[in-house]
Amino acid sequence: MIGFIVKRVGHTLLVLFCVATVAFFIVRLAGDPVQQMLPPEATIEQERALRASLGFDRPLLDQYVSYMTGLLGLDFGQSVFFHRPAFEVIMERLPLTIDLAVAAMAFTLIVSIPAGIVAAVRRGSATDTSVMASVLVGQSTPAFWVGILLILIFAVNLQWLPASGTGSPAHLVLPAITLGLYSAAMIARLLRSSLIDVLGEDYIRTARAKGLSGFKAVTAHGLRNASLPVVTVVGLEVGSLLGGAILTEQVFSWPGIGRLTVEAITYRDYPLMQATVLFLAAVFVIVNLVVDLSYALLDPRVRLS
Amino acid sequence: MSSVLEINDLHVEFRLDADTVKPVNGVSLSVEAGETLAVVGESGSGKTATALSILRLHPTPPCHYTGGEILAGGRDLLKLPEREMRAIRGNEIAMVFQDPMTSLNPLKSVGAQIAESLRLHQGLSRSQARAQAVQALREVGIPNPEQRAGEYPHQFSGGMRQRVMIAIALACRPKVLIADEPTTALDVTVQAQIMELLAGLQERFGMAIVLITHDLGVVARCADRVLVMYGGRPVELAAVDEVFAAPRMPYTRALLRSMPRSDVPGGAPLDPIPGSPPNLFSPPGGCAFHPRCALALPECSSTVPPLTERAPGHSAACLLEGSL
Repeated sequence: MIGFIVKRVGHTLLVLFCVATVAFFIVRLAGDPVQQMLPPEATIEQERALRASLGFDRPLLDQYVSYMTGLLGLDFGQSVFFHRPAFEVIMERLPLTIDLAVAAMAFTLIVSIPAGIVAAVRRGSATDTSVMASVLVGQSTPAFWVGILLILIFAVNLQWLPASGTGSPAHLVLPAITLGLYSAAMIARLLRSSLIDVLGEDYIRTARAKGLSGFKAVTAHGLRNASLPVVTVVGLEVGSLLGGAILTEQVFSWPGIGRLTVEAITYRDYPLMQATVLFLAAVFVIVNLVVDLSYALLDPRVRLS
Repeated sequence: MSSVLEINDLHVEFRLDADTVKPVNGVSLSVEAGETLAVVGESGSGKTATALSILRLHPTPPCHYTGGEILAGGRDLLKLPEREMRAIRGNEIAMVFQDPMTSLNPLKSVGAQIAESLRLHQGLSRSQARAQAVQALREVGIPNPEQRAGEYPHQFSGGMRQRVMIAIALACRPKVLIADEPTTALDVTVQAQIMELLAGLQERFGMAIVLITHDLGVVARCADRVLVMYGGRPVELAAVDEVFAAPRMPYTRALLRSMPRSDVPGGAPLDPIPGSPPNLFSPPGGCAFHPRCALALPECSSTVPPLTERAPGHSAACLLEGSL
């Protein structure tokens, strides 16, 4: 187990090192932040002075080395636009993104798990067909369109829920549904097919032969077996939700990590762009680790080998 | 002695989209406490379909039980509501399946899988059921049962898993055990151990065994009586010695001749049955065996011979009279 953890930590650090390097060089293709920040009538001297004050006049390799050295001390650099440490800016936005991610995931699971189970158990029935049709709609509808539609119906026409902004649980409802709809459709479909496979297994027949009801056979023997492939996908979805939902946050003016990423790109805020990319990578690496560990928890064949 | 399980003229249909398949056509059998009835026949002869019908384990739809009765404990199982049927499954009538590698849930410890039916049928507490599960593992000859009960199916060999399946089936001391090809997926040496184990447990607990198999060697060693099936119909029913010594249905005789024999010096050449088993989607008219039968008469293609008693305790379904 200790060997496993050491290996995983080493692997994680390697991934983060590579991501930091790629992010550092790629963001510099976005354009010149100094040009962006200065008014058009600024003089060459003013431009040079700003460039020097931000450190962008130094050789690229020099900048890279000091950036990487900073990372070792958890220094992600100063945001050019916010004039504060990039890490601090991200941490400030993170709670909002976590709120949204948790709400969206709750919506996803509450909708997709019953839908997937019912569709699998009543395979071929009208219920199954309608679940699968909804899945198709859910997976093929873009988030920005769903968001606008929900705003139109529930905020503008019915005036039940706020159209944008933050501040109360009611503000969470529409963005969470918008964000969760795609994952709910995907997970319902995945759970259905996984459960259909499992329900054909001999051990389900054994469970029925023991005298278990069909419902109990599904819940006690089917679901855990069927959940193995689903856990991977749920993990990846949690990762992308925590990384910020760019479109949804934009539509609902939700000031989370997703909008922050867009702002960083708009202002060519190199340190902030690098920090958001690195943050996203770290979230995915951690989520993957959690998924691997949950596999061991769910499946004794993984745990004991 | 009265029978603990009796099937009379059972008919089962699978209604698929385009076709209706009838895997079981008028099967009748009975088995007494402490007795082993072997049901033999080729693949597709309706053995397993009959076995699963007893516990009503076929998915419905497409399966429909269209006729006959299955009597156990004075009730017709085909008429019981599902809830009462559940109280019989694994409790009064239990089943062991063919493939022990896939018949156990890989994510639950074997102890938990045995305890499950004890808790369900006998209302035992978690700790009582766990203690009983350990005892059940001991009964089926699993060494170190206290420790093994907490282990998972992948930590057991094929033969050991089948022992676990038997422990699950016998946990609630059923009156009838249906063993559906319990040794087919196992090594030959392990097969013998499993059959010995079943015989020993039968002697101890006195349950009836319905042994589904296509292995005539197993039949000769373990069964008291034999029901031969072909094309979903019972074609011969007799005591095991009678069937081997004086079969009265040409299919039974052909089946015996197609098996290797160890009692003939030098080994007799095998005599396979020509043709293939009947297509269930379009079964031949008359006796289902007539297209492959060396002794077929012209009327065999139009008349379905009923299973009639030819000698005390020996029935056959054939237009030919007398022993072959």
